[in-house]
Amino acid sequence: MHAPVPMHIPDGFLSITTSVLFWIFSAIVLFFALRKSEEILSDKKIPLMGVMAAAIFAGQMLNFAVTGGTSGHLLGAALAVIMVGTWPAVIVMASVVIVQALMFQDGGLVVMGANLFNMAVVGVFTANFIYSIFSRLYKHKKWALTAAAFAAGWASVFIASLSAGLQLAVSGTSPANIAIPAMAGIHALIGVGEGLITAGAAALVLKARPDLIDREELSGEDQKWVVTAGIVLSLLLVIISPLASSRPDGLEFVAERLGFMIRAQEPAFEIIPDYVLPGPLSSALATVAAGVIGIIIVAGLALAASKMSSKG
Amino acid sequence: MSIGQVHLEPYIKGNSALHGLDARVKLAGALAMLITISTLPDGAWAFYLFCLALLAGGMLISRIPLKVFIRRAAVIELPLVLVILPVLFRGGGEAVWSAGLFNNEVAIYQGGLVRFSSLLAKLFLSILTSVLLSAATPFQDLLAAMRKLGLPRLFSAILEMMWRYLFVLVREAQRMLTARKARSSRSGESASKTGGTLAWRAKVTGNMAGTLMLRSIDRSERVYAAMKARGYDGEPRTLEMSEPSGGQTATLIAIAAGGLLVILLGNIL
Amino acid sequence: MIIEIKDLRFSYHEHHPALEGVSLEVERGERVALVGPNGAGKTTLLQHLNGILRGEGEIRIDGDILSDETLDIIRGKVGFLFQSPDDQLFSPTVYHDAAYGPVYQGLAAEEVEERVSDALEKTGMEALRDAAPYHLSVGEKKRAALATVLSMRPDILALDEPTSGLDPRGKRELVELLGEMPQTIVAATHDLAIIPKLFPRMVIMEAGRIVHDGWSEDILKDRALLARHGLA
Repeated sequence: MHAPVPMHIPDGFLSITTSVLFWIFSAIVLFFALRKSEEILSDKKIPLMGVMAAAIFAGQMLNFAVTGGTSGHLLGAALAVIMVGTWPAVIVMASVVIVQALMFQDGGLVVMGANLFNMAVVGVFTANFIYSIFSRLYKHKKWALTAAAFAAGWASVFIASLSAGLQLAVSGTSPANIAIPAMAGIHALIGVGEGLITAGAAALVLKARPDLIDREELSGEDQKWVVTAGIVLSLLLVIISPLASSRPDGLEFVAERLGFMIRAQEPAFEIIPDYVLPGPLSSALATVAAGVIGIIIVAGLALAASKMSSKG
Repeated sequence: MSIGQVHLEPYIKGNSALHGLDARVKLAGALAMLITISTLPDGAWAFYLFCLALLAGGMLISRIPLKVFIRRAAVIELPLVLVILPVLFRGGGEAVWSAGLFNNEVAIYQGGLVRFSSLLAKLFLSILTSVLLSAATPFQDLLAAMRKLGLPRLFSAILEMMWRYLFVLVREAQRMLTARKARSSRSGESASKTGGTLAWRAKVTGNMAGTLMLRSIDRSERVYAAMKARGYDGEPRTLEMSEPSGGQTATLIAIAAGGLLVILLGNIL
Repeated sequence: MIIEIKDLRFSYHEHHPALEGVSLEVERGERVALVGPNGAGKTTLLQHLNGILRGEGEIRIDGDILSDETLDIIRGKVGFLFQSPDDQLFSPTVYHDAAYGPVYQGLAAEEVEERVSDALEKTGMEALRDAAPYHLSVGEKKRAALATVLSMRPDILALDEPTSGLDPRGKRELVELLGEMPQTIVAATHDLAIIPKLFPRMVIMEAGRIVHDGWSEDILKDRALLARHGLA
């Protein structure tokens, strides 16, 4: 149909294990995001998220000529965050990913968990933490918000692409030293387009409806933990990626380096006993599992903390 | 460039046996097929053909024209091709082709060739499955099927609302693009930098996106007001599907069993 | 002859022919109204003038045959006003929207400024140059949209239902404005009331064909003719 940012992984490109893992994790985050969105938006939730999901989908058709016949497009994770806030943005982006995969063959169905993770979780959380930090640092000066939008747009695309590259590498579809740099390199460029478009959008909204951008939600207490989770996630991806990119078996290499950490926590990982998985797979898997479990722990802490702070 | 007459709806009306099949059966069947395709090992050509035959059977039964499938199945992104290209140059077996490149020996190995073509074959089969599903099943029915399979009611309501406004907003975006195109001209005089700078063009596109977002927020407010006026209280409400008939359940079980069989055989052989 | 259309045919898709052999000639400076019921092909015809739609047959604008090579030049000569001004207002300020055309053409900053100010002045939008289109009334939006097109200094104005959505005062203002424009104007309109003031010539379309082409004064008096073609 249309060609948005080329980050949608098709079916057959990820191993079943990777697909299942990311399905589980994305499902958890989505369920949680759904509940949070309900809290935040109350009975406006369906019209707001439904219409905005359609808007982001339509927005992905807006393009600008780059060179030759190519054009730049929008992914929209950062834009969604700016317009409706983090948790609704997760649902909005997830809806876009689901409809694109199901009805327009942009992205696979078996691997949708991974695509949801990249675009609706990583993309959104990264955009949020950058936008929040940037805009708060400069106390909402007009130019700062536009710059923040640019940075959020670029980072959301770039870091999401790292996640995609890692997924491809972990699945053995492509060697780590190709998949990660390829995705990262291409999307570092594409991210510039995303940043510019997001900034242009922010500038217009700022001019016409500044009240929409300057939402209190951005300075709420809750945000601290969401921002932290975003930072942790991005850091993990940004650290693992170049390490893994150094060689084709990059992830096993990284896993070995982290091996001492894993062995020290062996009892926890007995839950996935070695004999269930073939040997070479388990170390790469352990890396991924470690990261995912770490994120779940952080997210769980964030959940717990936000529940406590909102009750207090 | 059109004025928004793009045919966006993937569902193609019909009353074939496939169209009449319960959406839950079709969705489950599609998922079974996709999982089967994904788990088949490399080079299992007989099984790929078998899956293709099954899909072709489905396509025939649906009576949906072939050109629809051709048009919608021609999708693959360049970066992803780049990402799997190196597969050709690894993997076991003999070198099928080799050349010297910057003092290095570069070769395409048989193993890599098999893996690469298997990836593409599976990709093609997966897309075909997805096209068949979306062409033969209305979106509303797919949503209902997903609800039965565990999709939360709220999420389903949101997707439904998204679908309702998808085509409206896509056309709005297209009209904006058309209007922009109409003002994108070359002056007859000294044609210096036509088109402005890249950054400016991106910024304008951003402005358009922002405009679309703003209008959509307003639209959602109007939708909300209209819903409230009709007594909306925030709870998602949906019509429930009828239970699938015995025959359909049997079809479903048969598909699942067939899928399992194919996976097992494919992995053993 | 600034517009020459010879035997134009166009279909949106297989079973939907929209134009079935339309031929039309318009002299420089003329003002022509395209009228007809919905679905007659008025908008479709208009959108061929600047290449939004491309059909079969020959179209000449100011001597140039409309083709892939001349498309972008011709776009600069034909200013198209869309039925809904929202379609063409997408910038943060009225100024920016009006500036799009000249900036795209690669003109120098001073030239852009001059053209935009000129266009804003002509449409009475100078005071609103820094306003966000989002906050404008329908009448103001129409004028802003007109400014976005005038800044390109087109030779021809193609207007799609220019008065739709306007209240009586808005209509009056727009008609006055258009009356002052030196350009050749072709307008598709349902609003017969604006024709006597602006359009000496009337072209009636029906089912993708031109069924009558003559002086507005005569046509508007001919009730039978109007009734026959669904205009009264």
